[in-house]
Amino acid sequence: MAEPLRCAHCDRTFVDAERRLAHTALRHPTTLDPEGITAYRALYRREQRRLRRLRLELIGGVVAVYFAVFVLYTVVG
Amino acid sequence: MRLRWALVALGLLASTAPVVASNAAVGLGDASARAVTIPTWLYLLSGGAVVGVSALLAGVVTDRRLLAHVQGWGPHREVPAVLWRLRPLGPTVGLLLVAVVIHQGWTGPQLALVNPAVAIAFVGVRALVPIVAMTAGDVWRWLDPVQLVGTRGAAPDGDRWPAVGVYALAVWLETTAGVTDSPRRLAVAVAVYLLAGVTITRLWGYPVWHHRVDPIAAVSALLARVAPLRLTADGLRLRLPGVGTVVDVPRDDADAPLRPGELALVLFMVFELTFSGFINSAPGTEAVGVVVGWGLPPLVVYLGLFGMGAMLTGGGYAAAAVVAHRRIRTTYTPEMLALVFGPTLLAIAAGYHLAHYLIFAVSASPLLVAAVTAPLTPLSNPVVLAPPAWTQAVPAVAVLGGHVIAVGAAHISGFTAFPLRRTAIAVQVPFVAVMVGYTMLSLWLVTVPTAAALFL
Repeated sequence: MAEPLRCAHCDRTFVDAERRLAHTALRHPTTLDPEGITAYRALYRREQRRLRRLRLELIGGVVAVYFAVFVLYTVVG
Repeated sequence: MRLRWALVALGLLASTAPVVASNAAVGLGDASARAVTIPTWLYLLSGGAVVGVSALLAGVVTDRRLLAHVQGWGPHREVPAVLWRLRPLGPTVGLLLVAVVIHQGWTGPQLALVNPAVAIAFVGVRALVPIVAMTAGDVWRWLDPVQLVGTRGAAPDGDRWPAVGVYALAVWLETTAGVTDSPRRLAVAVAVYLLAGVTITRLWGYPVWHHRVDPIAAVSALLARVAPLRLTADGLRLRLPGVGTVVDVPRDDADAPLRPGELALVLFMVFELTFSGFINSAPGTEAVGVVVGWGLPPLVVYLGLFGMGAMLTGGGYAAAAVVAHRRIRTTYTPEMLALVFGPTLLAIAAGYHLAHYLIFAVSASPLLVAAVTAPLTPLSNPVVLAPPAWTQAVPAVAVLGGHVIAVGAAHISGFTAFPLRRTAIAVQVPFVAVMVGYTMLSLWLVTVPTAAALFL
């Protein structure tokens, strides 16, 4: 594994620049320069798109579990 | 925002529906027009589904501001100064209670139901101290009589490993040495405990006893993290149950919210209740009877069960941490992941404790009241409250509630520890899987008929 990247403001390390950027934006937001802010916005939006899909899958999972349990109860009862 | 709350409400509805239905299995559905008999496997599956669904729904909430709001919610009140002035009385009360247990245990009637020592030790300390700790905060810090011979101070270096050992020994003695039936043995055990506390305090100072060795202090302090009430020098704060188990923002890669020995203690708390539930259940005694029938001494069988169960509990959790570590890209070690999510297990331990002890504590509370108000007289007319029928739902609700709270706390912990939201969600999956399995096992234990453990 490559050498981990260290946060410039605390002792946490990260496997890649994306994670370090997200950490800096969340934990040390005042230290971000305008370029960093733009980069974080882009990262956030990218993540948002992926999360939208994940969220649908999770809700689908809830419905599937509920449906499965319901069917089981109908069959057994 | 409104959509999210609607989803949360929908989820709660979805996750409670199977519970309501499954209550029919424990006899609450008698009132309905058509009683449905539900096989145990379906009942257990429904319970597991509740935990799984709550995790799926928690995954939908990815708004850090909302999570911070959930974490920070709760009113704050000043407390009357008289409370702090009463504080020095606590250890004296504790000492009086210990004195009663030792004196009455040794000289009183050797019958568990009428001896005040048994009521104080098992209803008061064993059942109620953890219950008070998980609702109102660290009660043993106020009551511990050993602090009379030492001075309180900051936690020393070193872990709670000694407490894990003493706790395991205490549970083992409780199971096998008959301290529940023989007040005299109980008196000896309590005297040894007190003597050990005083000796260690004299030799190395009270903080070593309190923060490293005393298992009651450890259980009380750890369960207090779950408590919805939190008393600090600033006053009393109400918070959502379980949010106190969420990790703080980590400062570095080794900044864990728990020490390894504390994690072992939390896992042991979860295991211990499962163990005593199992050996005091009908299938448990049957299984032990079969193995003893092969010619093994009963104590060896119980010791084997004890060791194997503890290994399985720890091993299951360790496996979840290793799998979680493989699923995400992080500079954390698997051990660190186990420690990050360790405190959330406290909600599970709290739920199990309620499942096993709440009804007992309430129904036996007249014994404790009698023992405390008239400590020197044997209970001439021991009264035990008969719990109404609906209370048989309490164990299952407590087990499920503990797991659901733990899932929520693990979700917020993930978001605090990891900067990317998809990492925060992915890391929880193995832990939730283990929780679903453990929920089903515990639900099974609280539904099977109880039976006195054999050969002990």
